[in-house]
Amino acid sequence: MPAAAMTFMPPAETESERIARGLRERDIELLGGLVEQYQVRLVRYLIHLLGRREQVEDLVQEIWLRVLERGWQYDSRLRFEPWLFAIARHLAVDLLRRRDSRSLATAPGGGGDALLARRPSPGYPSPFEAAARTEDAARLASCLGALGPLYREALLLRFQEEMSLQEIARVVEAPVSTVSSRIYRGLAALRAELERNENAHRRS
Amino acid sequence: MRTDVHEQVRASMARCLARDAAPEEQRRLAEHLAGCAECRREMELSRRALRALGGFSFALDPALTPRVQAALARRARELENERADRKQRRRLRVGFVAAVLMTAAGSLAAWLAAGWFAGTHHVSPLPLHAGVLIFWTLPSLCAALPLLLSDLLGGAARGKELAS
Repeated sequence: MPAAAMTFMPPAETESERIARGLRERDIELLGGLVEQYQVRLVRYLIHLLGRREQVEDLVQEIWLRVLERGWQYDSRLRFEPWLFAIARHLAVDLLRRRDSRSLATAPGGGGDALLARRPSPGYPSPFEAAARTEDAARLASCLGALGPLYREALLLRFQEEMSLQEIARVVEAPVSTVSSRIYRGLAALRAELERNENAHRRS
Repeated sequence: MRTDVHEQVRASMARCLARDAAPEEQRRLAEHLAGCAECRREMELSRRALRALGGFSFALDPALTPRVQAALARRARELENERADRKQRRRLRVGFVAAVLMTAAGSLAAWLAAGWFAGTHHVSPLPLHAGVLIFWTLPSLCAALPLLLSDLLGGAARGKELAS
């Protein structure tokens, strides 16, 4: 009898299904847990994408509110992280677009990638350089700061977030071949930057 | 080493580091690296570059998470209220439509009955029809109208609330 009862037990809910159900029901406890779990990773992603700290924390709040409002759109067959990061990317691009349209110097228009790619350097140490504690770390951080945001984003999602190429493609809304190319080129650029930086350091 | 071979090895390094290479390609790269100091150095640089990516740390404002959680709780309450509100408005509209339909159907039946009664008793149907309009149709409509008015007034009040 217990064996028969076991046979008819429903399959255990996966993590993604639990999140999807919580988002559909707007379960505040679950959302609070997700905020705690993903906050640091979300902020790190935004810093890599935007290359600066300002407004990141306001953006984070906007992202979680969007997750609350659009939670019913999350498909539990996919992992939660790519969906969350795709929302973060959309809102980050929206923020840049709003800021660009306010600035008379920059012509509005262009896709999200174009907006991200033409971000000017902030003119002060990047958040990567500001975070570096040692000389070696500072050299590495300066290389990271010099890398284009699209490459930095692809490298972060692949090597830190450990997303598959397909998941990254979903986040950045680009073909898998573009994502692969960004990862390879980003890696090559980071390596070249590191080499150049070390040679300069050796000479000085 | 010929440049094209070197380029191929570089591409293979990137694929292997991105865990995007087949086991056969990984084996070939390992074999090559064992015999090529220049490529070993490149591989080491790439690994250091990736460590640079992983070594980035930053301080998170400790108040950020509680602030976001509080904002979420507030917004969830607002959304819940909006949902309850929409439900109530839908109920009011359905009630109004049902009342209007029942009034129309009842009035038609009473109108026809009054006509039939006047015909069989050879009296004028005019006072009977006037009676149907005054004592049936008008009171029913008056009962249905508050449903519509409360819906409209509620909508206007909510609009003002949102605007403020």
